[in-house]
Amino acid sequence: MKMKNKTRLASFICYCLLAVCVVLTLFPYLWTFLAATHTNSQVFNFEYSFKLGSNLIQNYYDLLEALPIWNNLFSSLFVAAVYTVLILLIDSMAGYGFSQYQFKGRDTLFIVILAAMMIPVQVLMVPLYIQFSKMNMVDSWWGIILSGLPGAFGVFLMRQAMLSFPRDLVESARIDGAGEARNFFTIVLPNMKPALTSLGILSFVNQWGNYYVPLVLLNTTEKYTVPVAISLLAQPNFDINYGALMLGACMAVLPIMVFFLIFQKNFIDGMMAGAIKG
Amino acid sequence: MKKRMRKVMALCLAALMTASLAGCGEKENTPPAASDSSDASEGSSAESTGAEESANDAEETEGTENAGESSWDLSGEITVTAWNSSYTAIVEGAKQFMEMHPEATITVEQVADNTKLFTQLAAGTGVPDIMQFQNRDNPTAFDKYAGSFLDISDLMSQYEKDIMPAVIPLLKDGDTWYSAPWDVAPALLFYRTDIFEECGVNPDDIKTWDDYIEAGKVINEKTNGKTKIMGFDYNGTSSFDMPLIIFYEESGSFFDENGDVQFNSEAVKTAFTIFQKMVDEDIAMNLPSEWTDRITALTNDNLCTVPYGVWFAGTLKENLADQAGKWSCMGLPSVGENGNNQANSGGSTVMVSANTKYPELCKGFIEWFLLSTEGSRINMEVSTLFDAYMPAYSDESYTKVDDYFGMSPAGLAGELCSEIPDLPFPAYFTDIGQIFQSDAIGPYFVDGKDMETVLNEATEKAQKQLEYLRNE
Repeated sequence: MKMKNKTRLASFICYCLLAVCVVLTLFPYLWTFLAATHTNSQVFNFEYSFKLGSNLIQNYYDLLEALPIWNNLFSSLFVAAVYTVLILLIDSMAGYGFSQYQFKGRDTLFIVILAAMMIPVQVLMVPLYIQFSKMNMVDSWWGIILSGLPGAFGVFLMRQAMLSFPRDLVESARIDGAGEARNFFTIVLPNMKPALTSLGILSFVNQWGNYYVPLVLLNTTEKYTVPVAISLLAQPNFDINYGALMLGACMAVLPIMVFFLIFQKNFIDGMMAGAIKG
Repeated sequence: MKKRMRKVMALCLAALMTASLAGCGEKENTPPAASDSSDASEGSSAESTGAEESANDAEETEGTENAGESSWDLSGEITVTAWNSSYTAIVEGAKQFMEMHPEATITVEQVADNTKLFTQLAAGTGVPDIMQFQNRDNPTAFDKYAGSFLDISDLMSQYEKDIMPAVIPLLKDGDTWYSAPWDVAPALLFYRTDIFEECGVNPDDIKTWDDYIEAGKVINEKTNGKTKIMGFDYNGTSSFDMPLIIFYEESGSFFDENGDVQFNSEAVKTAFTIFQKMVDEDIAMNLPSEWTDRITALTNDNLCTVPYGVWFAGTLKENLADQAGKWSCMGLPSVGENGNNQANSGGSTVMVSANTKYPELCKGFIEWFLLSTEGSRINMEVSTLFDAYMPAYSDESYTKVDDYFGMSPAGLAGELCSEIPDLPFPAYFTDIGQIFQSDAIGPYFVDGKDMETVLNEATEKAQKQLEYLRNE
């Protein structure tokens, strides 16, 4: 009996601590949401901090006046979605090659790819800019998508996941007459769902939050992705409209929250899969 | 096998690093102006460090075409980048300009800051025809991106007498004008009239910073410590604009006459001593994230004065609309009796790309938008931007009473700008300033270290950084 009380107390304390953590984590989001309903002079007034304001609609119109926010959301969505699909395809193919084929220089090549992970994008930006301007891809979404594709992380993740796939299975499919494409798409890929999901979510989230590359490559406000567009509102100068800014931040976070909540279970599964099979 | 593997890995890494370093080298060695020669072919010019031949060509063409003085050929298509409220103003300016000159097409692009521009300048391609700069970054840009900017001396030399004198040194590299001024920011002391009145403080009695501190003590006492007279980031990490106001008043510079870093100067020591006194007397408050914390403090009546550039009038109106009629502004306090009370805090400029296909259109637009009363009126009326073009200061758009303040901040700023000391921003000021922020302000105001030691140590660190940047 005593023991039971003790565990109860422990879990009670545990839950209390967790509740505090939840409040701490959620508070900035809550404040952002509340601030999105306030007028500019209420945002920083303590009296209004925890009250729902009535300026949401005006803030929305102000935001629309300052930014083509729906275009920006579409840009972000398009770039992130196309990028994610391409990353999944390319990286899983590369991972398949590295894990299932034997060829000369395979490990060396793999190390070179891994080493590429260490080069920060800031170093690459000037050469990339020159390259894309020669390819006429400045101010185009494809520039952003292409520049992100040669990422090593996805190749690494997919290779690790595919290493555990029995090579005999591939062999027997081959003996039964399956071509390489069929082998890859119908035998291997369907078994890689956890890894694909986690890579997909990571890629999508990364590209959604990508600031630096779109900032440099895009010129037209309509084409700006959400982070770049929002940054136009957030400079320390006199015409910051904080209400509109907070509303913009909410609109930027919402799609990614929904996306994450939908795939959350798969995401965690995928992370575990990657972690153990490595 | 393992050993071989390691060797291969080491080799690969070395190869990668060399490749990335080689990329950097290429970036520096290629003069940006020359890298896209096809763009530069249509009568544009370049500065002497760049392609000299094309510069000579351009001088010849311009010489003949500009015989009629400021009658530029305004046909063509140009792109302009600007940020924030400057963007709003220049969009309107471009619209009106194109109505007057249908042969001109001006596209204005909105940018958040100059991150993209620096990449374009380094790459030597994609540079907009006219680009906005923070005025303090000008000399750094002249040094770092030499050859990227068009010599606009033929335009600017006509207007030298009309430009606020303090900003002129930032527009030239040697004797050549590469930049035109946009807005400047004579500093004023913004104060809450209602709080001053309640506490029995007469603003006219505040002539020096000592008077200011005395007023702060009275306000602190009468409001039971609720309202402070000064707020700044004691750590200096988010901003160091406040102590710099006194530094500017005192003609301070972070560099000595040899161009070496020197933080340990009279101007810095004076500024530090006065601000330390405010902290000691408990009349200052810490604003760790200065910009937003200041607005929070002002909203909640915790702060009653702000010495800042004239543009701060716009901030108050925008973010503290509820406090209309409770604010006014006056000249800054000075360090000693009858000392200088003029300083500048902020401002921007524009530069023209050396690769522009339409240099005349660029100059013509700049002349109309930034060097005429008509243009300055648009800047003031659309975005309350206070231009460096002095003849505009008597225009009604500057002098008319602003209901929010019950007076005209721009009109007052127009009277308080002729004696501003030259702006002390040699090349790499911003980089050196960052070290001052992190290594001088925090250690002095927060950690309470000895002023001399702090300043000397920060100087040493900044000098190393400066040498690195100059040799880069």
